[in-house]
Amino acid sequence: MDTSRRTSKDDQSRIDWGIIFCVLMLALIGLASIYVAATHDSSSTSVLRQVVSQLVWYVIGIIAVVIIMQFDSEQLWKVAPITYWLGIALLASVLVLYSRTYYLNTGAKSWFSLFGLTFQPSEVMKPAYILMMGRVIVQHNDTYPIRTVRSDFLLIGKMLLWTIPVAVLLKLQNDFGTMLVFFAILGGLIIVSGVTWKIILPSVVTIFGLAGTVLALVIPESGRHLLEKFGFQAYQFARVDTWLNPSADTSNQGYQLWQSMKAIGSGGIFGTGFDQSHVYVPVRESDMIFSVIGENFGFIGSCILILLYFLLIYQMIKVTFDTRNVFYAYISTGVIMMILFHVFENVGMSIGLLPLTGIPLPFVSAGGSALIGNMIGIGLIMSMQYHNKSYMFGEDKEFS
Amino acid sequence: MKIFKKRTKKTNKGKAASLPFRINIIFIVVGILFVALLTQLAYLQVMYGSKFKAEVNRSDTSVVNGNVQRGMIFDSTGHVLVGNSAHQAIIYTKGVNVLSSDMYKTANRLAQYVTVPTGSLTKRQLADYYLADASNLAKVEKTISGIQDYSADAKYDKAVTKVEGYPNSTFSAATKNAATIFAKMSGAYQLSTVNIKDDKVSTREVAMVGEHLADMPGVNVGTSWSRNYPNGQSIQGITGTVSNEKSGLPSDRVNELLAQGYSRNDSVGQSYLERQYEPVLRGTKSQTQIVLNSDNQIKKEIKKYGGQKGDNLQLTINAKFQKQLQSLVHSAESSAGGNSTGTYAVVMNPNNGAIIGMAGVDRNPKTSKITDNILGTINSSIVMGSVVKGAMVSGALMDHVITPTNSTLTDQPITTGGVKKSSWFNHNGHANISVDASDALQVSSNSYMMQLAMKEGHFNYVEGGALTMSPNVFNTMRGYFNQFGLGVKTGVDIPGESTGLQGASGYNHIGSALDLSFGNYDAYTTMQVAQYMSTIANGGNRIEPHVVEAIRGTSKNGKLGTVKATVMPKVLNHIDMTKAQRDVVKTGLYRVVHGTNTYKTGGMLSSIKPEISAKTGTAQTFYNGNETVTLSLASYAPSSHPQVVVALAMPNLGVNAESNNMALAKQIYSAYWKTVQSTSTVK
Repeated sequence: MDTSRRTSKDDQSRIDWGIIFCVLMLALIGLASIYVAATHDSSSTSVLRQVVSQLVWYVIGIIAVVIIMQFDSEQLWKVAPITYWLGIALLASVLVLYSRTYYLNTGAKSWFSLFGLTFQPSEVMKPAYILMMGRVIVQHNDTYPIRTVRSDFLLIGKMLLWTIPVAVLLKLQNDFGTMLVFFAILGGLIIVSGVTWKIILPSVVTIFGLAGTVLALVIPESGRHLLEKFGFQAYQFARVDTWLNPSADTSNQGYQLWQSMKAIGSGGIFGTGFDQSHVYVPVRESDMIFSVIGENFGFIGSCILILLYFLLIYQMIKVTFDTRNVFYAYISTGVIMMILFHVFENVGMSIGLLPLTGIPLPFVSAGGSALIGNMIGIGLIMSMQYHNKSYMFGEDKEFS
Repeated sequence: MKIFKKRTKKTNKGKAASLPFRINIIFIVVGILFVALLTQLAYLQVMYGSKFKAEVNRSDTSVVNGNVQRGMIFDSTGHVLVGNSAHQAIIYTKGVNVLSSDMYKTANRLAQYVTVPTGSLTKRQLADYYLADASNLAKVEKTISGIQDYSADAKYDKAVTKVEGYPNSTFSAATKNAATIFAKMSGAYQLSTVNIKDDKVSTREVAMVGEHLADMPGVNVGTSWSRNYPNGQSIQGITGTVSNEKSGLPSDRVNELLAQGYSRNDSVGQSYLERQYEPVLRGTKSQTQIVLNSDNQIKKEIKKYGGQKGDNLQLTINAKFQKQLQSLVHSAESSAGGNSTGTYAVVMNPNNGAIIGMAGVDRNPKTSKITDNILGTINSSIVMGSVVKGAMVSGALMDHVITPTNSTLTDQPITTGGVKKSSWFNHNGHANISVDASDALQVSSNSYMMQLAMKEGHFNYVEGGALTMSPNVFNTMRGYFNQFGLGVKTGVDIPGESTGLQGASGYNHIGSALDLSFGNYDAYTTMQVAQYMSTIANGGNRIEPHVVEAIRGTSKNGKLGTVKATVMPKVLNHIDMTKAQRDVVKTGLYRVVHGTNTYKTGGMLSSIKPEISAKTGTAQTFYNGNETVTLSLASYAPSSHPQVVVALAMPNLGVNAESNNMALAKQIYSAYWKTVQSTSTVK
């Protein structure tokens, strides 16, 4: 190792300021939006308390980033199974020790409540799962250097095997939205793991075909009877109805979505201005935070937000390419998929593009555990840059 | 994308080479998804932005109605018969889409300042209140095993059942107080107002609530009214009653009234005058326009119209006299005893139909219990007896079976088909006398009336022969009776009037035609008798009796204001008789009291000043198989230019009773001239 390169200047370049900039901007937008939501909505907690507690979570998140940055590739490799099983243990224990109040309000048994602080273990399970999956793929590819369709199926089987405990536990928690995040991560990792297109393409076509069929069946009454036989429930139909026709019934299921669409739509191109709220959107400090941004800052503000996410993901991909470490590549793909899915689903549901699920907007929505989960993801990416040994070997070096 | 091309240009076959390519695919997916988001955003914010803006700025207006004071009812002299007591009330107006949790908070706050009676609180209401607190709900649900298997609704129902099972002592008085308030709030409809407390609201409560209005959305201090009766509740027999907030609209008329704009908890006239004159008495509700924004939050309230108190009714009834009349009737009934079933009296002005007083009591002969029943005067049908003979003689004159100059007949017992019927003084034919029409009235000759009936029936009477008369005679006699008001509705402006009862009128009952002629067959109401006597007294106009004199506004001091409408005397029909014919009847009625014949029937009334003309009545009746006597009386005074008619009926007295009717009439006239009209106003 060339120690002469370890100067303060180099320390600077080992830290990815682009990512920090994006996260910082998102954090500022988040704090401002939480302030707006808190000012206009009646709540038992004061405005200041809501904003400050979010600020505190950011500080905890930054500490988490700094700690994780200290882990290099090898150490991450070692801790991956530990974090995975720790996460599983947390997910299992929450089934017993879930917060009763939260359960009554949301119907999901996915929250701990301790000393007035709530915590959702599935959020920190995400980075743990990503680490573990990265390890599984690398191990497999080392064992089977020559890819065959059979070995690819074996890989997919292994990946599914590690996903099943998570999926089962989340199903037991009634947390369908978070389960989808894990599936998104799994899907992204299958693509980058090198599984042959002969498997991926037909699978993608099948999945989209099935989804299309189900959707086509939801619309006619007879199709619904058929779907009910497969275990679909009335509330799920209601969500689809709302999604297909948000202004039809704005009193019950559709209320939140219609309010959100009104808020965002009324923002127009330039927005109504900071701290202006004319439309009440339920839980807009958290899952519906995008409605605040859309209303206050309009199309331009929304574009800037999405651009920030795009920039963030671009930075992550850049780091992935810079490090040329396959383990790192899988981890970053997992983190990218996690953030991508959160952003797409959250913004998409707020504007009526996707059905409603309880998924927060990364770095912006109020809520500690989701923030910590995402910050751990950022920490993983930043640790790659921080421990990057490969850049000194020149550009033509392949992934090793 | 330049960076990726650069990184992947040297790719060879193998897994490492495909990795950058696949990461690029992920990146492309990111790009596509973000473009999808931006497209939908552009669609919402750029294309439809102005439409959504308009939707957000849209505001709805709703009108909230406030209650106003109901019109009062006054007597003819301006005394209040039915008034309103104003109470301070704590009221609650429910907004749109108010959450139960918000209402729970408001109810708890309000409960700190206001104490309401909790007697009517049901277990279910208490449970609903208790469970409106999310932590209570969670606590209760925790204690129910297997709760997670139920749907949200079923869980709640389980919890309610559980809480309903708690012993009463679980809940403190303060909790029950808050629960009662919560129940009242929950019961309100959107944008409607309910009284949380309208009885015995203390000034302290008003002050405390007033001070904290800002913390309790929808709560306010208002006024509510309830009916009071300064002259006694017995007047309800005429005025009727109103529904109160608790009982709500009468269940049989809910839909009709809601369609007319009433709220479910409004007061509405339920019976008699209160119901008949509801549109006048109710007034016009105040209107407050409420502007709601697109979130259904109240943006502003504009008082559009202050509301108008209902108009007042002025009655023809003299409250003081009415009270006296009712008490005279009551005491007459209490001294009657036996099988007596009631006493009824009507005092009216024969010239315009104004009822000055109407009184009535029912008596249950089994228990001797006497109850007020003023409306017995219009809905109790009584076989009145000879009191109708004035109408019978008038009919005969109109039928030309007798004339004013040729009306003399011999009073003798009438025997047909083995049945002998006679006048009271001539049962066996030992006192056969010649009487003309006026004298027939004076001595109350049944025989004379029967002979008139047979003449009207074109039947030649042969003593002891069969009565082969056409039953058409029933129609003939009743036709004349009806012209005077006997056996038809009088048209009095109180609902529920009876037409009286008609006996069977076929050929088989032809013998009863004779009974009909002297009032011993059909049954009439006391009001009909009063109308009949008025028609004679005023010279042949059958006038609708009425108790409402005028509809009047409210003056500044809350008394009777300007007259808005006056009830005009309504002539229902005119009796086609010559003056000479009328005089025959009037003379007869005068002679009943002041005549010289030994057998005159109303001599006891001659001491009444000013002079009255009258006809008494005695009917042989039965109560529960026991023989009874029904006494009646119809009269007017002064005889020369009648200004008041007194009619009364006392069904089912003892068989020996003969002067109860006259004794009561004397008392009534005495009260009338003392209370209503001074004798100095008449000659």
